Amino acid sequence: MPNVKPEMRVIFVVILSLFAAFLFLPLLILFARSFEDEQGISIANYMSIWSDRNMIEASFNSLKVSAAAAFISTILGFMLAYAIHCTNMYRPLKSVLKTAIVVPMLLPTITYGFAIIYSLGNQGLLTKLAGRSLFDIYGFNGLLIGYVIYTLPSAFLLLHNAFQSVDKKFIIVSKLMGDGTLRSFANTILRPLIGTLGGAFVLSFILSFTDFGIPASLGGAYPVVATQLYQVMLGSIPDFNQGAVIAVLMLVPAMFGIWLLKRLERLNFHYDKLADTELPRHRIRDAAFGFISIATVLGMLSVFAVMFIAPWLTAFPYDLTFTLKHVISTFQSSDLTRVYVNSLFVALLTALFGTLIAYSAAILNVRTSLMGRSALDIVSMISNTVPGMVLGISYLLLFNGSSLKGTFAILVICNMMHFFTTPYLMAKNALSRMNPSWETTGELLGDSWFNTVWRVILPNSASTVIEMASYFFINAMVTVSGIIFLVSAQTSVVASKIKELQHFGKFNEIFVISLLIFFTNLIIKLLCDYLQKRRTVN
Amino acid sequence: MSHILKLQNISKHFDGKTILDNISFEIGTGEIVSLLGPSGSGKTTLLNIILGLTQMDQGKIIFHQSDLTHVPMRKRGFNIVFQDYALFPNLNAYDNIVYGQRNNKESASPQQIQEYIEFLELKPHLQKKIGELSGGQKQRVALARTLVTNPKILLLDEPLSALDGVIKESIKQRIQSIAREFKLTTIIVTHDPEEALTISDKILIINQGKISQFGAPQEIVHQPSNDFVDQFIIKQLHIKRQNIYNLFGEQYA
Amino acid sequence: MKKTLKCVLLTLLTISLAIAATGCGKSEADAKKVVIYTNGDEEAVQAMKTSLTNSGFEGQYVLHSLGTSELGGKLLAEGKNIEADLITMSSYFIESSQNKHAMFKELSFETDALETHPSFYAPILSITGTTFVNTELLEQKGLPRPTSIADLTKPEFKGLVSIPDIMHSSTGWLLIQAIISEYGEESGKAILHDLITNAGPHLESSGSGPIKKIQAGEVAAGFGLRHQAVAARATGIPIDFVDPIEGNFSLTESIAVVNKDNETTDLAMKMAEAILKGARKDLIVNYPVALYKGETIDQVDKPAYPKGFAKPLTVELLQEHQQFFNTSKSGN
Repeated sequence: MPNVKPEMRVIFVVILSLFAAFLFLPLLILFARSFEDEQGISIANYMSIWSDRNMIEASFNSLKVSAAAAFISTILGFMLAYAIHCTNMYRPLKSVLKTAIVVPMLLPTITYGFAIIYSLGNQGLLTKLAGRSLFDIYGFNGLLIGYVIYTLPSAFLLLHNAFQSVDKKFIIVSKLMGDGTLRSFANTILRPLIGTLGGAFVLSFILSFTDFGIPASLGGAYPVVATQLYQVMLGSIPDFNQGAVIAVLMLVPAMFGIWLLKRLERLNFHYDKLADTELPRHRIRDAAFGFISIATVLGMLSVFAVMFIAPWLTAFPYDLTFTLKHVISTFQSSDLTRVYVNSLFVALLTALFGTLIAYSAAILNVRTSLMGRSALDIVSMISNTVPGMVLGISYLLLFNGSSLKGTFAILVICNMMHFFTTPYLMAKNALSRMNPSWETTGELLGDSWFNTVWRVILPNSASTVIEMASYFFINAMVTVSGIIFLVSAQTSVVASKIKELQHFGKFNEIFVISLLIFFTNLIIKLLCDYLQKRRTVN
Repeated sequence: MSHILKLQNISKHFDGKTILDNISFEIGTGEIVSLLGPSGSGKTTLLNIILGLTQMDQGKIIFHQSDLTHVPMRKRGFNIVFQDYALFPNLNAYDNIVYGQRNNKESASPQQIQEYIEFLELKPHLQKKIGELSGGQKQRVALARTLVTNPKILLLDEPLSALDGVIKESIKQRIQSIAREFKLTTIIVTHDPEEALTISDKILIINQGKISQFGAPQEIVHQPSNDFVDQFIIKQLHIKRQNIYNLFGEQYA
Repeated sequence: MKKTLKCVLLTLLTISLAIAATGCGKSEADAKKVVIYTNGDEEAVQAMKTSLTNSGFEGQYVLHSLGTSELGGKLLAEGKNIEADLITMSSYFIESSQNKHAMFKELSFETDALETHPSFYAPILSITGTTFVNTELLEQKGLPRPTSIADLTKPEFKGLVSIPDIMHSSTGWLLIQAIISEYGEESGKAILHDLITNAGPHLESSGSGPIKKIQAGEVAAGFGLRHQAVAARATGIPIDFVDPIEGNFSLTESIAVVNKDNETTDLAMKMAEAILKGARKDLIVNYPVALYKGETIDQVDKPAYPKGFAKPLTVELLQEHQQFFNTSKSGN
């Protein structure tokens, strides 16, 4: 590791100050406001929250539906990952499944709700196909479907990665030792993955619990914490102190969840060496898992099918003649193009500065001997813990009077803080695997530290940098919960525009701009995948 | 022979443990000196202290009458080839070799660079990616890259440990001829007594942070100064020799 | 390969800077743009846009739609610090926020309104509540055609009624006013309770929610804005309106200029005048209530039982009625 240079300290201080100003301070203000009332400091706000029947009901609903969604997502995610790793399913099918399952990640959650209404509602596409109403989508069922679609990709990716580090040789060994199917499954699959399974559950739970988009579009008569929070902050009688309390209450399960995740990590196995192993043939197993996986992914995607169909029809579901008028009128509205450009602008800046900050933080942490550098890990953990809505409200409380209010800067900063952890961990992982002597070598060859980072470290982690930027971009495009409190008329972005269109019930426009987000993200994703592939081929 | 590098009473502690304890020795111009010891003896720490990468707790480093103790790594003018070479995989062999050229006025001229490349027989490999080079080729590229900066002292950290058999011997010879040809003072860290004895002008044997013996290879073989040197170096070589003799029978003993 | 990466990075940087530059340039221009916040429906927004375009204000304003409760919350919480320069909003909310923050500028132009109004706002439209039905679905489910709000509380309408939520929507208030006026607080509570039970998941936060649900065939009957039902029927889909015997109550929406004391305020004032003069002819088509001298409306647009609430409409009264709604919702 190179000796500490002044420029490293400067960057370190800059990054820490950023987090101090835009993560710690806002949260501090949030806590302070939650204890503030007309008389001064007290816990009165907390007491009064529990006298509100709606709030109790909402908390209970949130816990119930999030837990149910997390449970289903974990099981489905596990089956999909198992199908991909532990069966001899047709290979191209595996890669199609792997790609298709992450498609929902390219869409804002607020779109899910509308897609569900127009797929599974009384007049929905799937309802029509089935010939009768399948179940009531407003309330628990709808939210459950929405949350499962939302969290399944994350749960799957987590389990998918974990499966990659499970040594399948042990399956063979276990069989050779005479274990029965169940025992073999328990010892070679379940036991090594138990930590990750728990992790997938907790992650799905937190995501569902803190999501705003799905209940905003589907909730209606079924109050959950997220919608209560929105109502208290932006309802007809806004009460910021009360909002602060609910935000803190939303933070508590998230904190507990992150703590639980850390604990669960210890259960994970680490195999010394991994070898690719042929799996024993088992036709029934392959067929069964193939069927389950295809059904799951198709089921998930079918909900979105309506989004691709409805905007092209005159008046779905009544008049099913083809028309371009919705698409044309949506694109002709100068309002929409403005909002779309705003979105691209925010997403690009988030990708650029977010990657810069996360990458710098990772370099300082794993490739220097800077004092106190592990503070960055703590920062990352806190940023990971804070739900988008909570961060948004904290910003609203702290920056409402400042010149940052209603600017693009506050949106970009909020996104950077909100999505910091994952790219930071990506960078840390990649940078720590690189030769530790490069900076010293560069220095001995006459380079400044910056020079070596630019000429050697960066090019050798280009693939990771691209992945980080794409993560920031896509998330900035789809996030609703983080910025719903921060957008103004002049800075409104596509995802928040959907919320506005919801007011008028303009489903066609909602679907058209959802498609716009979807294809923008798809292009970015494909471009990044292509760039990454080119790098690894070389 | 004049002494260009003097180390005086160097000590280093880490986490309350003594890594180096009062090390003093001197090196002459153009000498090849090996720092030899078992793993954990402190030899790599000593190398890093000379390089300027690690700060010592006590002691002095004198180079050509000037005190380097507080001179930062970059200004010392020494250079190192790390054990794993630390070549930059995003650049090809040639770009690695000339990497330091643009930063340094004192670095080698284009003719000199050509000379190094030819000397190290790297010409056919210049356009290759680092990943396409063999271990020995990597070692030679790393050597060339270091030489281009015209280091005042060349430091090599376990230069042979990752190489096998024949290549090991050829690199060994090459290091020796570099030192001779370019009159380059060279310090090599190794844990292999045979390597140290056959490559060096002088050997510094370190055990648990202390100097066990400092002298020419002949001295060490004929007059081991204590039990450790005897055990670690001489006995090891005896056993090896014995093993080989055993293969062929008594008459070779 | 290093070059590719750097190219990508540099391109990205250039693009961002370019957008940043245009973005900044734009926001500078935007700084002079008038920001309009409105709780208006699609038709109202369209009428306003048209009148602004006709008066040559195109490109000089940004229009942002919000729910009544969202906009109300912002007005009460932020006062003059609100982003908007010009608002259109339910009149009672404008009055309450003026009382609290003294945030609106006296209008610089005269109006000839039928009813008197304070000098800091002028009514732009009036909305009227009514019940409506999906005739096809009524037939399909064998339901009788309702004549009153109370009819919708019958058990056969369970799950087939959609009503707006007074917590979010001012249309919801029209419903509550009708119930309280006709039945008083005591029996009104029971009726509202049954109505909410029947609505179940179809309690809508948007005033346009019930008519959309009716159009989508999700429910058979609902309560909402009269003009929307009239318009829906005119398109030929199986929808009809039924003026409830409890009465058709109305609310006016008004336009007001936030007093920021700068050039934008002056421009906003001009726009307010332009909207009032230019948009009424479109607005009265969609919201057929005469507000100014010389305006006339068709017979079909005249509600059968027009009524006004006994007390003046204020935010405080709204909160009282919201309370009433909440206790009805949970009380048995």
